[in-house]
Amino acid sequence: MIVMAALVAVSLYFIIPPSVKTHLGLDLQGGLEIIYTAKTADGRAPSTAELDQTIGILDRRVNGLGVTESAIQKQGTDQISVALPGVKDAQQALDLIGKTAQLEFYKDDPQSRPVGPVATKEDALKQLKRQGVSQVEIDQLSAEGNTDKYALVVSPAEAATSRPEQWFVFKRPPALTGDAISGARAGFSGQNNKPNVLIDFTAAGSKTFQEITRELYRTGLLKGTPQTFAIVLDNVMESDPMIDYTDPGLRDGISGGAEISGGNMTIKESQDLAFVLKTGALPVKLVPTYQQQVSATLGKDSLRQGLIAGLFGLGLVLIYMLLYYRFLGLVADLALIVYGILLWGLFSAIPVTLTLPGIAGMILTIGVAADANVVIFERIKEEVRHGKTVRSAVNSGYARGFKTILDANILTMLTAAVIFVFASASPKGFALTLILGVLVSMLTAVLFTRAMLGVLAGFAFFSKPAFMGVRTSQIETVAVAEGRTAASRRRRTTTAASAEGTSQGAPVPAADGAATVTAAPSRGGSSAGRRTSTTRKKKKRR
Amino acid sequence: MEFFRRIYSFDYMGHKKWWFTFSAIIIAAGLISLFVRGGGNPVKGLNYGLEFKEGTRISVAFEKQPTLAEVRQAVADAGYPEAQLQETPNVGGSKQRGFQIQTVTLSTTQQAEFKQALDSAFTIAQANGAEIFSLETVGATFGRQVVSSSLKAVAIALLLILIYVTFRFQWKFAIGAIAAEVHDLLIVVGIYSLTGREVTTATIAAVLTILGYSLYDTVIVFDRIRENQPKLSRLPYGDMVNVSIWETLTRSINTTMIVILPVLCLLLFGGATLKNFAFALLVGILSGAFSSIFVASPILTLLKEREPQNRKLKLAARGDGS
Repeated sequence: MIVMAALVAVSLYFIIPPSVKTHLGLDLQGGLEIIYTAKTADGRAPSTAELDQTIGILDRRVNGLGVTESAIQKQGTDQISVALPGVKDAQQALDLIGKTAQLEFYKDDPQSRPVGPVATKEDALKQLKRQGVSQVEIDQLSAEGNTDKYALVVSPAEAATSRPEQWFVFKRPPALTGDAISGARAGFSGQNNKPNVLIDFTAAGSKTFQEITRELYRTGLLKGTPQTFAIVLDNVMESDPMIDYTDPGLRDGISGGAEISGGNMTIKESQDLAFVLKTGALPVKLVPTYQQQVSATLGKDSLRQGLIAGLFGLGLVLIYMLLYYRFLGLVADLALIVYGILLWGLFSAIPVTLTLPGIAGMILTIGVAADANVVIFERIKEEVRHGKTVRSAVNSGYARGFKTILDANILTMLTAAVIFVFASASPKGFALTLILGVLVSMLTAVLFTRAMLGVLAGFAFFSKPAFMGVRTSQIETVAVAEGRTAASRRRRTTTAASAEGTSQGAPVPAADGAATVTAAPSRGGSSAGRRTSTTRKKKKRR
Repeated sequence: MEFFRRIYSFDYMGHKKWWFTFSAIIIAAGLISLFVRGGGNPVKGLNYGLEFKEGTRISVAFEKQPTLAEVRQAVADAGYPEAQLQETPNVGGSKQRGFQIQTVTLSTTQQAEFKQALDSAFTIAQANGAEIFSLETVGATFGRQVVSSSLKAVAIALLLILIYVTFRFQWKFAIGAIAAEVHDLLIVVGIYSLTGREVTTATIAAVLTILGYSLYDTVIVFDRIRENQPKLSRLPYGDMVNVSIWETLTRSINTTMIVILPVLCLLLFGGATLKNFAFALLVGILSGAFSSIFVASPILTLLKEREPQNRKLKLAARGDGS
């Protein structure tokens, strides 16, 4: 009784705060999921530290988008999954989140720029090859855009000045990298009032930047031609400002900040660029390997269908148990309902995201939870047939039945745990609900079913075997096993065509009519099994 | 009526060869199908869903209710003449008639342009204020990773089951259980190959679950065998197993029924993903119920009958007649 009260209290505790809503996965509420494979600039597998850093930056970007309940997780050794449930502008999210935002400043002189400008990527690579660079390096540069020594940079065509696309190869390392940035904001250029992005440098960055520009000023003065430097973002040249050597104000270089004013940036583009620069560059390159975009309607429909299927399933199981086990079935049904409440409460109480496979897992566990009752009840019925009183049958039946359930459930959970650890995304959610479901079902079997049976066994009306669907005629005083043995023996003797004497006591018809000698071919499978159960039900009702 | 009484007294262990033949035929059919469809490579003999192929899949419903040919034309005009199209009565589980369009992998910009093209051609339908438009893109390596991680999971799960059953019962029981597991897996995979049903990540999750759940009935029977062994030590092993099966038959049938009921509901009422899931589960549960009696127990009996004292009992049972 104490146990039962505790159970009720526990379940109430879970259910009562209605404010806690179940976390729905994005397949149920709509949204965007992307799985990225991370690669370092030179194609090496990323380190754990790099992945963690990437996740931190992604987190900042996602929060900046205003998505709540987002989940960013490491997957395996080189993958990151980003789930954005309920995200409104999927396109914007896609544009922003995965951007490497690796900002680099290159000096634009022949020494730092071995190739360019040329018209195509192939030309750029060919020219670099002519300079004696190995084919392996060329191939890597072609595929990744970067190697340890070189960076392939494109300057997109500009419609306003009808300048075609241009390709360059710059020598790594760059004069300055995104690490030197302390902030970025969208604004407007003072010269032509077009949208631009203003970059603030850190103290060290500011110093380096000033040195670079001062050097460019001096070189320009010496050579008599203005020098430029290139601002490159993810291998795209955003702008190539010129240092005017005729302006003595630049003698000491440029201090303070820099400005990116790529051609025809729209206001939105400048804001997006400032946003990714501000959240920092990713230490790795993210290649989307899987992307799923679910609309809110589809998600809602899936959830409704899942719930309908679940409720129908639960209903059918309740009816089946009631028809087959009668009064015990009622106990089982109550236990099932308690189980349902507990499981739902658990899902509300802990931060588990419910996904579509998760719902399937939950529905399956309805069956598993009812199975536990079947095993226990069959055991109790068996004990009653053996001639035990109902009360002692309940005790020993429960104890023995539970042992079986334990083994079966541990195997189920073992497999589910393996799935959870080793399998990828979608099976994971399923495995988790399965584990939780089996645990809760065991808890219900231990706390609720046992307590109910214990309490009921105390009532006089409960001690009638008929209450659990056992006919009085089925109760034997002779052990069933002995009778079975005889039956089995008899079959043996028939097949062997012999006259073996029974040494194990008189053949008593076993509970299920085991004594019939049979030669009929079995049809096997559970289609036969299903029919069996219905017939047996009829037999018992009579 | 007579039939039902018989299944509670049938000599299951005496007909081992029949069961093995039956299972072998089904498994062989599945394996042949895998090899034939896969062109010699059984891993390729399944109809993998988009999650395993490279490409982008779009599910969409339109305001203007265009025909399949019109949509095909619009998709070709947008620059994807090789896209695969399919009309669905309820796109992505909604009540709307719609289309599934499968193209090569689209970049973010291409996605936006393509969506724009479709919208201007037929106007993407809305429901409850949201567009009926969903999109899925898969890179080349994703499917391979899912399959390889799942195979790893299967191997480890089988190993753990082997260890657990050996620890709780005996290694001969474990061999029977593992044989039943492998049997169930082969049947499910074979049926997927034979029917050509689409294999998705949900299918894989379901197959992995079967691994755990299909042992439920086997454990019930094995548990009874373990319990009956000392009590019925004078019986030949096969007869003792028969008795154990008879005694647990009702609960094996009921547990299977009870799990199948909700799974059937999933199959009937669930959306595409859930249906897919339920089908794999259904096949696996049926196969699991079958294999507990017709695979796991006979193999255990085969192994056990080789033990000296059991062989003696068996010979004695036979010898009495001669």
